[in-house]
Amino acid sequence: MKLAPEQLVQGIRDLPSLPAVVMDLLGDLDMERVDISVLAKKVSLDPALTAKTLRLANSPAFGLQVKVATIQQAITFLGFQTMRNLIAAAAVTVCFPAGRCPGFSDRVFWRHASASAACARALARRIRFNPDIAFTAGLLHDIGRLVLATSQPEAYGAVLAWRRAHDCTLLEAERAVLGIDHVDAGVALAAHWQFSDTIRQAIARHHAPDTPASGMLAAIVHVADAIVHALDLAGDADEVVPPLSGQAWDAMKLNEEAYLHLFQETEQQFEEMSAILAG
Amino acid sequence: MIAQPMPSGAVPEDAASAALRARLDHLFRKGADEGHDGWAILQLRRHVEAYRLGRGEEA
Repeated sequence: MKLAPEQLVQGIRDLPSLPAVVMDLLGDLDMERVDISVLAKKVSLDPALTAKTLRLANSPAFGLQVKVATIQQAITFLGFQTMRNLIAAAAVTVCFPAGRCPGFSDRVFWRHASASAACARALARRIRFNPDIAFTAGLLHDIGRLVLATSQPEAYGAVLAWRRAHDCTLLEAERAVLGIDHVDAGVALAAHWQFSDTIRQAIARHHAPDTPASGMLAAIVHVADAIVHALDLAGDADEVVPPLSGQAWDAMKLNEEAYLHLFQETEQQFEEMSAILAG
Repeated sequence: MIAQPMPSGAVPEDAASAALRARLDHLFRKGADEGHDGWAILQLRRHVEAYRLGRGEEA
């Protein structure tokens, strides 16, 4: 049941398109200058995207003292960088029809993605890295799994069955059954949707942060991913903590006390966010 | 079944702690033997165990 690269690309082409405004946001993640009022107007033209973004902005993870009712208002309170990521997160989630793949739980997927986003953001703050970029990279790092489950549901169902039968990591099962893995699929989607180079690199290297020139963002996402698996937050009975790079772990330079606070922050923030994203 | 008295000085392990350790054994069933990086995953496990046990005591 090996998957040819052309099949992967075709599957991605068949996915719904991201709204143009969201492609701009994800593509220009590293750029600082964007016309905020134009962005707010464009997003506000899409009621479903606006509603989901505002639910995210009002979730406890973002600690607002007042409820925001418009995109412009949310930008005022949360800042443009944070809102840009929330808009992108809300948009990405609606592009993948749920329930196609046997054995694949969208709820488990979004719980893991949301917790990884919260954890990566909390880690980034502690090591003085851009927390908003870390949030987006954490949220999207496994997006290739969703691509495969949505575009190749039967084949990916076989991957999940193989994983259960062999008690291995998902990455190992994907390579054994499909010949490609969710990293390949994530990188292909990032190219198709024109994600920024920073996010593409984090998706490409989140299982191999020691590869030369991987960058700190890949290390942050790698460690956040392992922490979220270890905290058992996704609700997956087959959960397994993947291999953890000592180099990436060392790069965080955190002591036990810092980790305990980080774990608590992650747990407190992810639950409502995942319910919104999966809904 | 009649509960057996613990030998003097022995500390009975709380059932919740035992269940937690069993789940952690399951979660960390891979990775610790992954070459020279096994120490990092063992450190992560220690922190998670400390966090879960600490939180359990507070509850």
